Amino acid sequence: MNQPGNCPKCGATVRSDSVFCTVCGHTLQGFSRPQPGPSQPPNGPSGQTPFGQPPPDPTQMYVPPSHHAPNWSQPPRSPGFGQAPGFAPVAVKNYLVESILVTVFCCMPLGVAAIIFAAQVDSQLRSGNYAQALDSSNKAKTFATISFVLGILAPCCYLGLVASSLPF
Amino acid sequence: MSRRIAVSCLLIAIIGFAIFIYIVPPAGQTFWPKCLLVQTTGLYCPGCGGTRSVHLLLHGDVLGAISQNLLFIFIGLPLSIWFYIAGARYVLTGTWSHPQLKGTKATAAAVILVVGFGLIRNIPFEPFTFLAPKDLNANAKRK
Repeated sequence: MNQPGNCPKCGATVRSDSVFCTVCGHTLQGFSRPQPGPSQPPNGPSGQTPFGQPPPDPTQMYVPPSHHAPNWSQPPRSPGFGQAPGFAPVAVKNYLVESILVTVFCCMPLGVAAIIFAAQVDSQLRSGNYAQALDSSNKAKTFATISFVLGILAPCCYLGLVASSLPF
Repeated sequence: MSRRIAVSCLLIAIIGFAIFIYIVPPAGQTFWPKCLLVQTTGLYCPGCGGTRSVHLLLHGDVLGAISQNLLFIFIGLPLSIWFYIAGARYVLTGTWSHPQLKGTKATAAAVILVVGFGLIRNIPFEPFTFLAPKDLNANAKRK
């Protein structure tokens, strides 16, 4: 375990048990496969579920690159950032608050779709299904963004129509 | 840095919007667009009556605000205040703490509340009509 490998996308040297490339953020293939090696029994307790057990050394734990919240700030990158007990060691935003707000404010049925995807993120993370959780998270974000933009655009278009029909 | 300026402009715009809602009563105004879902299908979505409930709440009419949109007052406003505080903290300190509801129970409760509210408020019987928005046709009545 932990022999360096190469990222298939950018070629950077990464640890073999990394989930993401630390340079380009590419999701590394086969991260869910247990690595057979002399240092780890093949059917060990953490062999099948890479996210079920916390990593042995929190300082070695990888926090994914900020493609979820692009450059908003420098969030505190402490080892337990965004982590609740029993949760996956990597943070996947579930966008539930945004989805609810978009549904309530922007009056769009698309927000309900965002809520349903956002609601699946945590349980998928809990069962160790990181790829699905990331997929649901991205879908929730997409639906929330679409309904937010539509919720802003539709009243603006309406206002434009009303203004253009005024008798002056 | 420019992002912090943009966020602070957004926060100020939200306050301006609230002042506008406070001054101008939403019911019976032509320039407030009616929700597209109501216009096309006649169904109330979970957010219907939100602007009116905020207007009534800002004027101190809590009961009226609740009768317009129960969910907006008890879920929508706390969550948006949470976001507002997170945004204000971002402007002041530069650190962004993303508002997140975590855990399966909280998630299920939120989904059932929002989606269930959207369904139940469309039932046209007596106990459920309290959840439906009121005074939708104030515009037509005044004409």
